[in-house]
Amino acid sequence: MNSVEMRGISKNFGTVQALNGVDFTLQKGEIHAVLGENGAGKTTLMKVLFGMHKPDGGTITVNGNQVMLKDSLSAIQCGIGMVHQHFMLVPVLSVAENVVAGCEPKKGILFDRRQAEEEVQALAEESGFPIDARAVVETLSVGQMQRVEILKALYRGAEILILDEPTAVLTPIETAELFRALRKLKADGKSIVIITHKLYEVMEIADRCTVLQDGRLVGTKNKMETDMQELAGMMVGRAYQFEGRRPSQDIGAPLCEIKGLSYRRNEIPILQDIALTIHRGEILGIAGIDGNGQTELIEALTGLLKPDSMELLVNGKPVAGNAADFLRAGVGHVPEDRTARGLSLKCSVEENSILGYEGQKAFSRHGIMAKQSIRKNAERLIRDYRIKTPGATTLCGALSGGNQQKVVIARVFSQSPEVIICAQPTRGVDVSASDYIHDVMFRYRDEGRGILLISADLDEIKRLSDTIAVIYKGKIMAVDRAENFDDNRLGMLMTGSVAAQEGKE
Amino acid sequence: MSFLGLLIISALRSSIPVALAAIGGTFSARCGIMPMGMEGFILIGAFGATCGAYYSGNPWVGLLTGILAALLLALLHGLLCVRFHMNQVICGIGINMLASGITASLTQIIWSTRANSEATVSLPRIMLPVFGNSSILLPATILIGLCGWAFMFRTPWGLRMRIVGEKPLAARTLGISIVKYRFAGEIIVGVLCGLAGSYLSIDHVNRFALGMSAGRGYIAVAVNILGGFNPIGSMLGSLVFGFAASLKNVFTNGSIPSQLLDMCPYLVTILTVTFAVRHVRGPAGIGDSGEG
Repeated sequence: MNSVEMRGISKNFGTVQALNGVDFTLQKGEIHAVLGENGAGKTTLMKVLFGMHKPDGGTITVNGNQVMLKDSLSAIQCGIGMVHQHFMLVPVLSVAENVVAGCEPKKGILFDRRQAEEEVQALAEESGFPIDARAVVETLSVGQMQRVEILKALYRGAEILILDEPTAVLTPIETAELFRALRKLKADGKSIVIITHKLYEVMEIADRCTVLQDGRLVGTKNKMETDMQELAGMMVGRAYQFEGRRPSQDIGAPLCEIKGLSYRRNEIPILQDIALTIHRGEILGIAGIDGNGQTELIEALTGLLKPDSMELLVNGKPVAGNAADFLRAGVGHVPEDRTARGLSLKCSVEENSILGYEGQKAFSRHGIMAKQSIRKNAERLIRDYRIKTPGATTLCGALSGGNQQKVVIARVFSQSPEVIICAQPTRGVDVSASDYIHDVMFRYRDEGRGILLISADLDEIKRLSDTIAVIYKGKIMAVDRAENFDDNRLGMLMTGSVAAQEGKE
Repeated sequence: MSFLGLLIISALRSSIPVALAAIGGTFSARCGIMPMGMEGFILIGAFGATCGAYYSGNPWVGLLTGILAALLLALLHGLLCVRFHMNQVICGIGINMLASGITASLTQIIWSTRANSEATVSLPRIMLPVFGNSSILLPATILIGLCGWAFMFRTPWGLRMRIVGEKPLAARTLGISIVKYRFAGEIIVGVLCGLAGSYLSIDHVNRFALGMSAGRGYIAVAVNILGGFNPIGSMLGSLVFGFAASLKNVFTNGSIPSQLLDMCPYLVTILTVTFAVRHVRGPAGIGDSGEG
């Protein structure tokens, strides 16, 4: 029998369709991976199952009974437990208090602390999570906190356990311990869902795997009948197309050199000794599955993050300092997330069109904004970059996603930096705007400047790049002319399955 | 009575309203609501108690109306902050101004003067061992403090309340209602501030005076922090302020200018907030709606 059956689940957040008619089944006693890139809807789907989001459509059946999960309490009562990516623990309370909260053992009307500690200690030992029930949570390591979260679910009698990106914060040893514990829980008859975007974890721990993309179900596969390559194809999806390629006619001298870029967070290597060179007249595309270090790479190259080591040369001159220094040194930045870093949605188009460049003589004199020339600049950008807006004073929040992105593109490209770090330039942008943005990038390259393109959309990488570098677990696996990659080779490199052979070539 | 004995008795007496409010404040803060409106709750409680006692001639009715008045204002604060997620501090300050305005206007309307109400009946006093002739609210305060501590740290509901205050989202994932526990916190702080206000107007004296809360609600916020957001700690902390406030009742011979003595409780508040409470960690979930 299936532990969980979700049929046709849909969920909107405002105008964003986070889930679109997704089906999901969890069999009893299996470990089921939910796979997809960031924003694919994995967590949303599981939060629906845990009663934290009410679906707009679809049905949920748990152990054969159709249920309405109006909040987490009703999900808990159905035997569902969830371990969130950001732990839901109270740091100042003890392990036992955190675990029993909400269904505490009582002595009369009083909370029976000793009983709670004994029960939690016994449960911990029985489930293979050795931990001191009396310890205060804030003194624990991240791996131990995760165990407390799992104990919380088990204490409530969870038969179905959902883990949201459980290994994201763990060291390799802790991950191995977690997987051992999950296998034990599976042997005890629990059904387990793990949300992840790491393919190698799926292959290691899961029995079956459901792939989501853009809020839609791509498919469900048995692990035995699939491989990492197929799953990678399902994740980044869409039939690959090489139409619209415009390879560079003239790749010139090195323009921007990155050497020895390494970065560790919590002792986990995120970027490992990255070396890349962007030439004049070249678009260098970074291909890779989300979460393999791309975000940190962008941040390091734009001065937003201080890596452990990095040498960055633009035109042979070293660049260092904060984000403003990087801008002045001629490194333009089209941020990954336009609403978080690219724009202030509560400011007008003209104000957004000078962000980061407001200190320039054209835009301010002696600390006073030059209204006239800011307005003129904005009007020129609106014309040149075909931004559809009622006017220069319209708030950016009122524009469509594609036009917001054009404001960011217009601002960065019009300042003619030497090299542009261009991250997800067309994410959430409609087709025509995205074609136009690609056109702008091609023209900029043809002027003899360089672009580093980071995109989760593999089609975009293949269409735009003259050279492709593949990143996997923070390492550059291969750098080669774009024509020399086929889907097979890209897929293998992106999933790390051919590291050894590539190295020998 | 000896000088020291006089000082202690006077300090205890001055501590009562601050202690009651501060105990209420611990409940509010522990469930994640910054109790910035206590000044207003106390003031409206004092006014409500005076009205009740004045019109009915029964001090117990006064006590009840005092509690009700403060409770209503606390529920308004809860409605704004818990239900509509408004900024807790700004709402609290707004509530304080509202209370100050309403009580001034109503005093003018009822008694045709802005300064004071007419004299009214006051609560009976009791004889206690050691303390002698004292307010019945003195033993009540001690009892409330002890019971409050037991509730907060020894019952499952206290544990849940603290979880709501530390990490509302965690409470939500455990199926603990943030809204219910926060309103419970508002109700407790309302009732206790109502008692504090009633003490001022129909126990300590027998009339309402304009602005008679005199910053005790703000002092209670400081005491709350000084006491580590713990009902018993708050009770002990209020003694410091009670002591500072009682100095003027002891040095009545003019050897020290009375203005300086009046200043003491406020000076102690500033010093406390500056030096003594820097390492006290408040509930982490204050101001966090837990909707995220």
